[in-house]
Amino acid sequence: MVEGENQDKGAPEPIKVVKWDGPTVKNTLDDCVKKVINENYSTWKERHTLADGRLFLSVIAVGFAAFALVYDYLYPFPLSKMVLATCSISYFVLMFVLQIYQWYVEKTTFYQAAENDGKNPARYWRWSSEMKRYDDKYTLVAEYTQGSRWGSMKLVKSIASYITEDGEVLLSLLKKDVDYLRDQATSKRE
Amino acid sequence: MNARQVGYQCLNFAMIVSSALMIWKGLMVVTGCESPIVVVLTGSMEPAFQRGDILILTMDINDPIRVGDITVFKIDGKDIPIVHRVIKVHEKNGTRFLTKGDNNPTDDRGLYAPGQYWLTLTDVVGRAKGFVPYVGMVTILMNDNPKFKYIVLGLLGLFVLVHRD
Repeated sequence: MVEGENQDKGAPEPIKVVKWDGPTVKNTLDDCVKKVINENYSTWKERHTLADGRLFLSVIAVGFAAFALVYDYLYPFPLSKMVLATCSISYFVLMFVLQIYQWYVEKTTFYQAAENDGKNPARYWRWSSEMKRYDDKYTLVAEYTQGSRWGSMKLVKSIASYITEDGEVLLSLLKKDVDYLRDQATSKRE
Repeated sequence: MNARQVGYQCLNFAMIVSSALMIWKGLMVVTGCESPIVVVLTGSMEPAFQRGDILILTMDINDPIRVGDITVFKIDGKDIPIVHRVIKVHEKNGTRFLTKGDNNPTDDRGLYAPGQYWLTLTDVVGRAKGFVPYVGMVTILMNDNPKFKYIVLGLLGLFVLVHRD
């Protein structure tokens, strides 16, 4: 367990988490990685294409359901039979598509960014994380694609490396590892 | 929580509601019946059905009504469907039939609309094809105690909105 740091005057609120609640710890660490990147890497701009894809699919699915509801209200069953059948089937097909999307396209990604330094083509970053149930090991993966080049780097560390005895997340330690991952991923030639 | 996360939590909630809705509408299409699942509210069909049983209905207009069928029907002017057995059928000049609950002492003419002595096919909601015992007691409880229903639904809704996957 790491020692707590001294707080500077005017420093932001410390981020606290219940250290025994696995899923919340993972979500909090993910949020902290995002915070570290967004606050420190000025050439990086956050992208939301994966989340937008998920939102889009969900909206279409709910749209089908809403349409079925309104149509059935205006033209009660059995007049609405065909519309209900179509909407029902479409809805469940979309649910299936959404599930496939989450399993194979989104996977464990929690952050995307575009790095643009003005000179080279943009680098598209994808950061993902994993943490098994009842385990304290947090796996952080940084991947990027730049045109035809790509790089990736993985780091597995116990959450104890970033979280104090009291459950406070120390951003400075997390930032060190985020910097490390970024440097290692870009230095490996592919 | 930024706007996207809020949007996604709300959509999550909407998807749960939509899933239930689509399953219900899907069942309506598959069974051909506008109310494919009903709860038995009284003991008038004991020992076959107890209060709290759930009935799965189908509606097949081409299958003629026969004595002994358990039909679910609605009386004009009343909106609670009744589940009773057919005891008499006339087919000349259109189908007309008479029903009676197994556990009732007399036929249902006392329940029909004033001046109505027979039921016709338009009154039928469906015929019982299968049943699930006891599960309907939850619905009866929630309808008898609306506050309980709102508390349960409210808590479920809150949980879905706040819980982050």
